[in-house]
Amino acid sequence: MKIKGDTAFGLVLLLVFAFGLVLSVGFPSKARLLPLFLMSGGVILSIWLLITGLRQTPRAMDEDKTEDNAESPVDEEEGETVTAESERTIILWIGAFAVMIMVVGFWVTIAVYVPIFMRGFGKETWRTAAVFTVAMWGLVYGVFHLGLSIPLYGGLLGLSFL
Amino acid sequence: MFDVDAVVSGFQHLLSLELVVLVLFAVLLGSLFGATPGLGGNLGIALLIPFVFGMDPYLGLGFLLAMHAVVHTAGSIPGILFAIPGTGPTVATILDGYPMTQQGRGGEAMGAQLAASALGGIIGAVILAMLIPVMRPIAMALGSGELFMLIVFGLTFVVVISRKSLSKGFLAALLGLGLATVGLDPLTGTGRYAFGQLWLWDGIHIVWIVLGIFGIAELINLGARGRGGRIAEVDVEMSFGQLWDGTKAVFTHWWLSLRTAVLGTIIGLIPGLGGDAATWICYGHAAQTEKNSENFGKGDIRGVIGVETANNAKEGGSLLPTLVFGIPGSSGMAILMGALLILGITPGPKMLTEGQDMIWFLVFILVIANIIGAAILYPISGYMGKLAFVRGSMLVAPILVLASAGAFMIRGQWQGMVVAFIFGLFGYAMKKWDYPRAPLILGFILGPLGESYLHRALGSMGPAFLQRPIVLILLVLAITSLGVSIKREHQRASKKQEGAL
Repeated sequence: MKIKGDTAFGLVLLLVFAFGLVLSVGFPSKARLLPLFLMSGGVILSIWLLITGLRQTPRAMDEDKTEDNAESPVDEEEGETVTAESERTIILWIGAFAVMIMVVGFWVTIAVYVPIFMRGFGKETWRTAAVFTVAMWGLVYGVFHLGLSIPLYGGLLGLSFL
Repeated sequence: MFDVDAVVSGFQHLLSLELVVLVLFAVLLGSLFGATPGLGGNLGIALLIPFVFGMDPYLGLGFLLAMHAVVHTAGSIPGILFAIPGTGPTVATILDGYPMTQQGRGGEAMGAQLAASALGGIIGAVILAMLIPVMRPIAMALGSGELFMLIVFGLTFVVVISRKSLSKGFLAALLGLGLATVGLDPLTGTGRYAFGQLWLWDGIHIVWIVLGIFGIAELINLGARGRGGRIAEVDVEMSFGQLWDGTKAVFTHWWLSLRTAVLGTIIGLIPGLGGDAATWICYGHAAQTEKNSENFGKGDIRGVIGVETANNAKEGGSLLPTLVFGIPGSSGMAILMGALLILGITPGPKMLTEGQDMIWFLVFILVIANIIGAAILYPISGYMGKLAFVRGSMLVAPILVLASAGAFMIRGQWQGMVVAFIFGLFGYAMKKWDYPRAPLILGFILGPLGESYLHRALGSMGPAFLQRPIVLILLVLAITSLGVSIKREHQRASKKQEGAL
């Protein structure tokens, strides 16, 4: 599983650098010097990493894993509870937050997302979620709106009604 | 030797009620960010940079530095109490701090940790102050060519901060350097990787990247560890008598405290070496040089003292290359350098002539923040440790709101939030698959500076700038540093292979 993910990420990086390289060729000569050099280096290094990653034997991978864990007890502790499902879950929750804030802006997102998140993700009681939401909304309102007079994003729907 | 006017001017900036309130607030915030595992000082600065935008530079920088100065002081608290480090560089404190807690000496460890942190921070600031007159002639001798080569030298520290994988570290640095080229080319005015988007003409803002690859990535990591489960489930009793015993131990072992503080500052001076290196090297030094060291790792208070003095002392050291050469001494300083630029202060040798009062002001801030930090943390250290009990569900939502607000406010562009979220996913992938994130920031910060110095050097002297003596020395140093680090990495890899066989 780790090999697959690592390789896929390496492939993404290769594509990013390759795309950057192709685009840099079209820049004027003085402007393309640095990007061309950097992107070429990135492409070469990405390919090298991909090849070495694919050639690594499963046994060596296991050894790597053991050594890495021995070096970093924190990672080991973290690794015990992180699962693919828990990663997907939190990424979806954070993704939902990102979408909401883009569409309806800060004020509505805090009022709607926070209680649903606390109830749905954190399994808090509705009462705790409500109290926490009101406190947070009030804090953001107090700091940004009253204290700093900074208008927060109202979303694509333009809900910056405060 | 010292520019007395600059010292006085720097001190005068402290005499403001607004600053006092801001520093107190910053110390509290820094303690909170430090003691809450998964947050840390880098996220703290990144989140707070938008708030200092437009502020008086002295107030803004004083606020950010005071916060940053105490992060590791508080970061050791959950480490000592629950073996859960609040920040990366405080991991070494666990080696002796946690066994002390297990032995019922948690208060002693906490007292030693707080006193050693404050003492280390003060010594680091004093050394920084002593180095200012020495740095001036050195800095004045440096032209564009030398500064370009210094940046190349700074980039070689990618090797040191890459830790587990050298090639991945280089790739991350290349990515950071590449991201820095997004926007209008300063030389030709051509839009590079702007895709016709007006908001990209100014390039990608460093705050968007830092919020993403550190802040949001760490939130994903925190959330992925459980559905609101507590981080720690142990309870610890502490007494003030224990705290006092630990405090006294720092002064009983004064020679060790002084040595590790000086060593920590020197390590901090070397750009890119980072706080982890300082604490581990000083821990090793203490274990190697102290008598009756057989109890190191089993609850020896000298292990806590050695690590903690170095941890805070290195901040003074790392501030100097950041301010004087524009080369961040650590990832925290890299972000702080972003704040300097936002506040209209350009780091570089000119700071020694035109901005020395600012340097002195920051020296005073370091001293004051360390003293206030320890003073505040003494009575509340027990309660701070309870932060390790905070549920993920309580942390994720407020920090998401704060991160989004920061990403939006920095330029008033909603696209900043999109960029931060994309980099959040990207940062989590980097963390998961052992791609070091600090080199990306190092590359992003140093890239534009390097390009600018290179163009200036070529414009004034042509390729002949490479023949200047200091340029050559720096080139040799860069190649040597790179060679030695690569060799060490190769040896480590060979050992690993032998072990596998």
